[in-house]
Amino acid sequence: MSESVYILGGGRTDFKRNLKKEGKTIRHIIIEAGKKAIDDAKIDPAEIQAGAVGNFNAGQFTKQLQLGAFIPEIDPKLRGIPTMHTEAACASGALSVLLGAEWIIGGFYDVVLVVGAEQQKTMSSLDGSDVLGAAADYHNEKPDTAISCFRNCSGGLRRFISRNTARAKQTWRWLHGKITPTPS
Amino acid sequence: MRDADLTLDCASQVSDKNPSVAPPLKVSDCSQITDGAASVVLVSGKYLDKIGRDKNKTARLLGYGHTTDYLPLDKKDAPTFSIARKAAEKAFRMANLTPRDLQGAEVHDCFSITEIVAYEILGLAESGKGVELVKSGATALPQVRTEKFKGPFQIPVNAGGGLIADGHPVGATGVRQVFEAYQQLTEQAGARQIESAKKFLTFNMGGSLTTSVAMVWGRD
Repeated sequence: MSESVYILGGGRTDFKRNLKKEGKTIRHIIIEAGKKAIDDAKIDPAEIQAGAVGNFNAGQFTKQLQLGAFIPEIDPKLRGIPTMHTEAACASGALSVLLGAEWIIGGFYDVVLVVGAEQQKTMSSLDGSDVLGAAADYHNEKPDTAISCFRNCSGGLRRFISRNTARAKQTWRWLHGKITPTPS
Repeated sequence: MRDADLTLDCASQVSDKNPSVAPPLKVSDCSQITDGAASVVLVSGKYLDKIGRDKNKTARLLGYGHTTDYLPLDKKDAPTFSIARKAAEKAFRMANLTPRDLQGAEVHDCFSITEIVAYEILGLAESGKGVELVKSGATALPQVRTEKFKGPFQIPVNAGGGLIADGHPVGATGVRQVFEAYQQLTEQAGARQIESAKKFLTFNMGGSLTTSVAMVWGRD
């Protein structure tokens, strides 16, 4: 790498929350998480030169896009900086980190804010599954119903799943989940 | 999900409380619909020098790999997933490390089987041996083990519960994994801290392993 990339700070929201019940939207958690990272990094927001936002499907889940425009709402000093939105289904967040990293490696910027966000609890499970179907080959893999799109995907994996596999894995993960409360 | 009133026995079988979603996957095998966000500030080494911060006290990106496969699952070479494997191989090659050099990992477990498949893709386990790795306890946090671990290689995975127990706000997950890497490498992970974590892997994937991103992070 021509220029090294470091993490100077970060933050997150508690994933237990239901934003709709709080009367909030994806906008609020982009702002909230963005502020946390800047506070944690202990830098003046004016130092941030660019912003990357990872999101899969706010367009369908919330009818809101152009999420980079929420970056200036994190702090007025961010108004005017370049922002971009990355999408690759569940890998949307990693792509925003990579975008930020490659900006630094390529010598374009020295300080980049990366925020990944999703608001999904906006609709019924069935409608939500249909939106998630966009992560697969929607028009070809989606057979009769929205749910069966995921059923179809898991069916492909079933060839090498044994019941024991899932059970063994769960044992450990549930224990992790129990002892490790999420930081707010 | 982490607050769900669900015992291990209950999580292991289909019941009214834990219905089948797509056999053999039950509700407890699936990540849940989630609202959430995560964030990081990335900076250059040059900038750290400029503001006088110690580079040894934070996490550095040592290597990464990013690949894209065909979109439909039936056009992919399951269960090998050679394109996803390339992402992991690239990341390790760039970092000049092997899976055995890692002390921890955050791995994409949108479904319980996904994590097992990922172990094999990432080289944490040989092909077909992902289940054995789990059963050995090698991927459990030492803090939660009920039996003493005797194996040659251990790598706690998804110390915070991963996508199933913590949550999977789709666009936030990849950033949340990197934030977790940062917290682990800077010893800010609290109860889920992996002791002496110096090299850490994150693996985020989209669709049915369509887009794969592996990143290796470390602290000098």
